[in-house]
Amino acid sequence: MQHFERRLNQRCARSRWITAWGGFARGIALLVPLACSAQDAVSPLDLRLDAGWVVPVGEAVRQDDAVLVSGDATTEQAVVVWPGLGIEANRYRYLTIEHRGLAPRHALSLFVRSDTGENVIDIPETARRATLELAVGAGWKGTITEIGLVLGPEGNIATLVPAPRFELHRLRLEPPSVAAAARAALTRAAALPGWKGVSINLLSENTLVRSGGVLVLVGLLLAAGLRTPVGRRVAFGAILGGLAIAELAMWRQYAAQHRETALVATARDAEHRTRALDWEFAEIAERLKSQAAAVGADTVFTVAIDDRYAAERLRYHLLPYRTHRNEAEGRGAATVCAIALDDAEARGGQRVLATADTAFGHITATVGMEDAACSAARSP
Amino acid sequence: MLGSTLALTMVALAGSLFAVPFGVRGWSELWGRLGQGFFLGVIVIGWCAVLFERAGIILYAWPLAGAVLVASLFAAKRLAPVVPRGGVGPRAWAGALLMVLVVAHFAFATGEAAHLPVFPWDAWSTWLYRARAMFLEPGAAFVAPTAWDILDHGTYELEAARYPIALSAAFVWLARLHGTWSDPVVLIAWPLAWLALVAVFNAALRGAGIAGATATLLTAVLASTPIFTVHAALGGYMDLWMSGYLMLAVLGLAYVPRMPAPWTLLAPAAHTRLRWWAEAHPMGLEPIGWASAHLRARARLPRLLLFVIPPLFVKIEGAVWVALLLLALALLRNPRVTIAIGAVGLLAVLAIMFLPDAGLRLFGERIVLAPDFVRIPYLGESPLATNPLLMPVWRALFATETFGVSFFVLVAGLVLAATQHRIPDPGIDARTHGLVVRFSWLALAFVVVLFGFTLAGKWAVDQTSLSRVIMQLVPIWLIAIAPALQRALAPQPQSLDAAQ
Repeated sequence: MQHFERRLNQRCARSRWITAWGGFARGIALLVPLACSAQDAVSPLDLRLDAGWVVPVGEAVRQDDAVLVSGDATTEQAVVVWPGLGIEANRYRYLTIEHRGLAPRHALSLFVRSDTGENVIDIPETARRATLELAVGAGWKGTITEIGLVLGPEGNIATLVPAPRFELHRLRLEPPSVAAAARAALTRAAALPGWKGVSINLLSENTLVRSGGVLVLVGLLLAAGLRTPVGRRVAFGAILGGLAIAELAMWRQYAAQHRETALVATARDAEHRTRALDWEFAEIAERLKSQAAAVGADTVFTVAIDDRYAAERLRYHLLPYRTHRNEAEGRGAATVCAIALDDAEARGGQRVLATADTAFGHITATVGMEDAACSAARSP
Repeated sequence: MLGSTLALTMVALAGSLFAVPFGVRGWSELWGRLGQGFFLGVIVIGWCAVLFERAGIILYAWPLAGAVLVASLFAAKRLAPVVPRGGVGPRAWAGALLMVLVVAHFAFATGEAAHLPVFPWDAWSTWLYRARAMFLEPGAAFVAPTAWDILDHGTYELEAARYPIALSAAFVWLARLHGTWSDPVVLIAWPLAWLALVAVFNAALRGAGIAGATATLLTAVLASTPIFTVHAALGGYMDLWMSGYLMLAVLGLAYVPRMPAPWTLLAPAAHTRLRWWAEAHPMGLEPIGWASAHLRARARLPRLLLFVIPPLFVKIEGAVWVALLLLALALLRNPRVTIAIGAVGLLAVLAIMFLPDAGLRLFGERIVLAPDFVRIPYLGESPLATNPLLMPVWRALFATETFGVSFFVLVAGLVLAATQHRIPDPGIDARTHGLVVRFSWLALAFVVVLFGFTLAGKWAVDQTSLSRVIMQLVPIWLIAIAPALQRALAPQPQSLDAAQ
């Protein structure tokens, strides 16, 4: 009993000590932002939603306390600009945006024009609210004359998915503060990377997954070092907790990404269109193949494209046509020469089969060859 | 897509005829054999499909499916005794959680495969480009980029024309069963490969003597590793498959030689009598005993080859992995002889380096080994220079979500293995573990050389291939550190006397 009382007294003493330190820490946490704000009394600045903005791309209307934004019918892009500002960049460090209805496979970014130049800052993808740090290195410097909110499909490739109107509820500039910094850190931890932006080789940075990993590592080492039942329970708890944190952090992404994937697939199937993200190339390729077949059995046609990636994609979509890619020396552009059938014979003359403007530039397809080599038809 | 799933399930069943029994009870053994059967069956299908597709014959698909069906029925009968009685799954809560995790990841990957078209670069530029070309134009062949005017009938230009084609042909078979090319029909193979990989991994751990809790934890770590899930969801790459085939190659070398020979030319009693007679009459009759013993041993050879050679038919680096695996086996069986052979090999390397005019050739190409350039026929050539790897490796393994918690677990395992008392674990299969550990170190050395000193380093710096190559080795590395984790999670007696 005495031993128990001694242990109890020790624990109480320890808890009083912890309580004292906890109170001191809480006091510091309250005082620091007050001190900071007392030094520099800059209030947050809300960009007006009722007036003062223009919409050079897409459409926007004011409704209640929000601005409803619709993308352009073809490009699915929209830009809402606040011109005529005179904001000193060094007074504000953070931007908070509150929104709803971000369409699948769409992204937001901030366009900034100042007396030092123009820059675009990506806004992390979150469901409703995001706080991002406006860094000098990202272009937030000088006197800001114009701010624009840019909404568009990832990679500037239209998704062809009917989307609800994007609702902008708040766009707020905030001075440096602990609270804003904490919100920005939370935004970075919670942001969802777009699926198209996920490389199969390297996934995004993720603080939560890293934290889970560290916890698992610590738990395993503790399990080896601690032999008491309590110690082993702590160790196992750390291992399972770390695994759970990492797993749940990924499941947020998986769920969001699959939701977008299914939405896009359903919308495309409903319109009997290809599910390919680069639907432009798929449709161009089908058009080329049907037109080439109409021209003649041994058609040879060349396709000039201003982008190597686009050339590779077109080759894939042109299957079963055999293709040869002839890269112009010293330039990123490419010419895809497609053989319809057996022989690479010159037919003489050239006839344009199809032209198209795509997100990757202009494409022109012509029939015929010269000098047994690909002839490149370039748009002016 | 359902049809492909059914076809691949039959392939897994049929392939399980060749699976090695890990000797563990319960669902782990059953799933482990089905997982092995999946990988073995797909590669055999691929080999058959290559022969027919090259000849331009497309009517093989349904007869081959019929043969698979018959084999799968036979295999199902043989697997019946392995099916656990009295329940549909593990009762322990850890095992149940693992099942939930595996099902969730599989469902996600399948959902993506069902809704996304072929997506990642190498998938549509190489692996599935070839499959689709072969499907649309029977008899299609592939050549490296060449002059426009020598492209002939049936030849497709492809930068990676020399990559192994067996698995691409297997996917053509799936598409032929379906009748038309459909991305989901083919892409479902990747979530199923992921499932097979996890199943084999779990069974391999249990078969190597790792206790249930540790095996469950490590299986959960592997199953939750994001890059594996992403490769399953965005199908078309071969790295997930290589993970599986590499693991099978290791397990094959570890287990098949110890299995009873499936057939012999001599009955055991006759073999025994012959050996006794040969030993009793030593003058010139020893070869009879030797031949008798080897006739029995060679009965295992076809099965061994089925496990060990598939990596050669999956990716180019499969040749390196198989070579390193054989080296690891040699180090395990007879380290002194191996080191002696290695010294001779080193002398040969030095000779090649300093006698460039010796003109040593392999596959028709000259081998070049210079301080600043290397050419190894079949594998390729590269200038040699040091590449800045520290930040790319840190970023790939720890800073991003790519490998989840697996490299944190690997680090813990290394620390624990280095600091624990070196007493033999009575339950651990020493041969399997010895092979795995040796191969793990050799593979690590190869990765360091590949990305640290050759042209491949640029793909490590820009993060386009570092993670994928390492991904192939993660299951093996996790198996290698499993005993160390087990000692930490379930402490054994600390002294040798107590262990005995």
